[in-house]
Amino acid sequence: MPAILTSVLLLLVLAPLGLARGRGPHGAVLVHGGAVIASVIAAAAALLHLGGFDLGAAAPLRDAALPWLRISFGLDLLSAYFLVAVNLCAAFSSISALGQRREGSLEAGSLAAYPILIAGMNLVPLARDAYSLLLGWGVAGVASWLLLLSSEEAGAGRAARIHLILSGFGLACLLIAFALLGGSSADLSFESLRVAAAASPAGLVPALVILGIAGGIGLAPLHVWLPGILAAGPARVSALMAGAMPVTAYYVLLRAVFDLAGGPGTGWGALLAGIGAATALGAALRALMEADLPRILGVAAVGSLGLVAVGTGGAAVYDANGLPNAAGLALSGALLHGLNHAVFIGLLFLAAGAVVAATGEMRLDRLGGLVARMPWTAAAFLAGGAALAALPPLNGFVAAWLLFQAFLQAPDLADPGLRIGALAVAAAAILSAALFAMVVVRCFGLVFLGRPRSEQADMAADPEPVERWSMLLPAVLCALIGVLPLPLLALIEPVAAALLGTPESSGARAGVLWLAPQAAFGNAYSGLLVLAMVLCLAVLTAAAVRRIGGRAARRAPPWAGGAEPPIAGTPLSASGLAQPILRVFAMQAFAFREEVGRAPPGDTGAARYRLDCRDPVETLFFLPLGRRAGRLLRRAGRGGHLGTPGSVGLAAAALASLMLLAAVLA
Amino acid sequence: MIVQAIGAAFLQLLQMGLVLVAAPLLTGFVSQVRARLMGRQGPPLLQPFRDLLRLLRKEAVVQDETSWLFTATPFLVFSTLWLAAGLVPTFASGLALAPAADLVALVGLLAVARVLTMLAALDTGAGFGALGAVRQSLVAVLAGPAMLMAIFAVAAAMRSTSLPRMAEFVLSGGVEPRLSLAIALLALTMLALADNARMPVDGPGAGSATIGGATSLEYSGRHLALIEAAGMLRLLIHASLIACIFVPWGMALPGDGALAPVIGLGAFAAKMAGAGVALALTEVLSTRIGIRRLGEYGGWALMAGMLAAIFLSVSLGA
Repeated sequence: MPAILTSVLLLLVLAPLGLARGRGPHGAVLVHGGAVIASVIAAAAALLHLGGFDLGAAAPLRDAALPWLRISFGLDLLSAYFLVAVNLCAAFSSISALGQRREGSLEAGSLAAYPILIAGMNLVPLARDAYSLLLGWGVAGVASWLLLLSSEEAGAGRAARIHLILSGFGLACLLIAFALLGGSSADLSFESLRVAAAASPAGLVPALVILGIAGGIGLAPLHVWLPGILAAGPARVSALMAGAMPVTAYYVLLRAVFDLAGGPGTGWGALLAGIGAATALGAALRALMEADLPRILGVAAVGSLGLVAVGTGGAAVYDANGLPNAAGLALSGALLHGLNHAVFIGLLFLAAGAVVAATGEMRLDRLGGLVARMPWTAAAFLAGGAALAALPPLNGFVAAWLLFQAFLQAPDLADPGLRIGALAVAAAAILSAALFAMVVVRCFGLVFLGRPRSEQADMAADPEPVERWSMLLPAVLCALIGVLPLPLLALIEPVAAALLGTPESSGARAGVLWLAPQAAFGNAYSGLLVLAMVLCLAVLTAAAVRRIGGRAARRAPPWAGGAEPPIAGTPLSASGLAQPILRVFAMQAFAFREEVGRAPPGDTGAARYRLDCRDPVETLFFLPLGRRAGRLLRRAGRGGHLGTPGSVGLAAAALASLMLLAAVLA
Repeated sequence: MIVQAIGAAFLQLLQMGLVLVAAPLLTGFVSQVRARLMGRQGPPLLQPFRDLLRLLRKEAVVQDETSWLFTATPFLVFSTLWLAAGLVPTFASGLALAPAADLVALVGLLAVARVLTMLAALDTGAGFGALGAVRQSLVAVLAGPAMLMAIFAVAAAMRSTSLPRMAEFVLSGGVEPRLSLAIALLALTMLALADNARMPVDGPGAGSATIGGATSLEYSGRHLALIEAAGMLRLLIHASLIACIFVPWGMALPGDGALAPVIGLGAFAAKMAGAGVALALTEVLSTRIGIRRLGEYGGWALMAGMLAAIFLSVSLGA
């Protein structure tokens, strides 16, 4: 606990240092190096706490800064688990930033905001009262806004503004939720909130919290903007904002709804699971439509968080219906996937950043052939992608396996409506996992395989060793968790048990190697054995084949079905690769339209193919809403465009009025 | 305890060897029966072995500009499917590796093999192979979830996703015939046809023109042999999976006498022969559906899987 607070302080000290020495030669190294040290210390301390070794006093530091606000910090199992996830992601992206030697491109402002973002994300799980939690949330929101503002990517300004509005909206929702939780008492410490919540029914609190974090983790219907925001920043910021920030938002959900309010109950739990499944499915399809690597990853991040929501909502439903074993399985799966998300989504963004930095291209159609030119990046991307696609033996599969085992117990639910709903959710989640496998095939196939489709892609090379390790370390971690998930699950189970209020270790394990929770009727899976067996059999096969065959393989130009290579335009395009799947799944929902322009007979020019689609939520809900709001603003005589200061002011005013409202309610 | 473990390990070894022999035999048997049904004499039963051996002895030509992924894929796909085939109980249920991977993990292994095949096809950079990958992606997206939904129904009825225990559950008479199980069987059969590029989805005679062959277009020699052998293993996996869940009778259970595995082998051969005849009949009697209607076919399979799960979950709770 003191170790983590110290590292947060270190991060906060780094900010003015970055501001002061930003232009200097060592400013970036100082800030990012400090961030690496701080996050590694924090992750290690949190991990030790999870494992039962507490460094120093467990008592929360009360009245640390502002006596009248009663800010307090502390550490429990739930906080420690999420601190591990957040700081792992922060450490990897800081290592990557440390390795990038592109001086001058980093503004002093962004150097100052970077450690503050990590500090803010650390403060959220550390908080022991609603004020500090919201303070951390706000700090992280503003810091990421600053980071986006100083980004040079096109559209970063707009993304920054949307992000600020989204986090302000989330803050307001959470504020009202906490005020409702607290009831008549002005004390917003977690203990008194828990006591107050136990006395009165939760009411709308779960809905408000879900709405509050929906913008942060991209749950439908607020999923529309997050991919754009995530694609707008530089790689190290995107990795943090896609990997770690949604995980802190997820922590807020667990803390506020499961811990403080005593669980969302059947209704809100089912709603959360349903929203999560819809988000995952929609995101998987959306990712097949996008053509830019960072945007695809942004959408994929949203989808992966949808699966976390599915597990969490499922756990709530099981818990409320007297099936604690299934609830424990579902929540363990969701918690594991939360940590996985922080690792593999961060990794994918870092790898994409390396690709974009090496080629200057982010369109799938302009990349290709990078597996030979950037072998390490390709290997890391493949590991992260396989984790996203829930393929064995990586960590994504372990979480998916746990979730499937939990859903297998849906027939035990008493309410037939819930049973069918659980099936629909499971089907959507399974389908989204299968679609994500295709997303990964499409990304990896077009970016890293085949022949380079632009000169820049042909000239690309792997990044420097430090940045390379920032991708390889999370890749190794993905494989390690996938192969040996039990040590981590042994840490997760008490967290899930504490949240659900069930006796600890409802899922006893059969052995060291086998993942066989008793709660899952003793069904078992062992990533280590599967991997070892496949590798053994492959070696055996190779040896046998060599004995029979003998001669070495010969290299030759491609046969390509007898065609003289290379024919311009025969390599597959990004939209062509996804076309059949989209035709089957996305015709109606996404208003999916294709346009094929064939050259006239005799002309050997290439055909054109254009794909047009729209998110239904955007077209049916937000665009009309935006038009109406714009008309309203114009009528108010302000003009449609507010500019950054205007919208910040508007957000601040809205916040202030909501705070007033909360004060009145409390 | 130790005797039991040694027995399980022995059975597992036997099983790993058996599937290697049974997979080409099944493929050869199906084409033989199909040829007979069409009034031709057909290739001999052992033709697949000869084909594989011939390919293995030939020189392998690897395309320029392909990566390690391209040459590693045949080995990885073959060993993944070999392991998967070794995990499905065929003649005896007491296999040593059974706890390493349940039915869900088996679906994961099949998915890994599919993804690797697609990536290798994209690695060639050729339009034709990529086209095969695109078509296969549609099958993959529909087949995986449909299979999991059908498994959902079956596993919920049998209270397990562990294949040996499912077989033992059925053998002990713990499950009564249900409509949902019949629908699950239908879904699994549809998938088996689609996943193995069989009629009505794809004709094995059509070769490189359609889904199955297009992804392996640039492979030759030993690489092609492994890819083909992996395809045969996949057919065996689907057939023995259906046999293990729906007709496990004859399978040797742990604790049965020493003669039981021999009886189990005979029963397995009979089941596979039945599956082969059924497959050949299906192929002869059906016409290939257009590639544009592949989505429809997969959609029906997915619907069947969903329906089975819904029926089961409604009837179980009541």
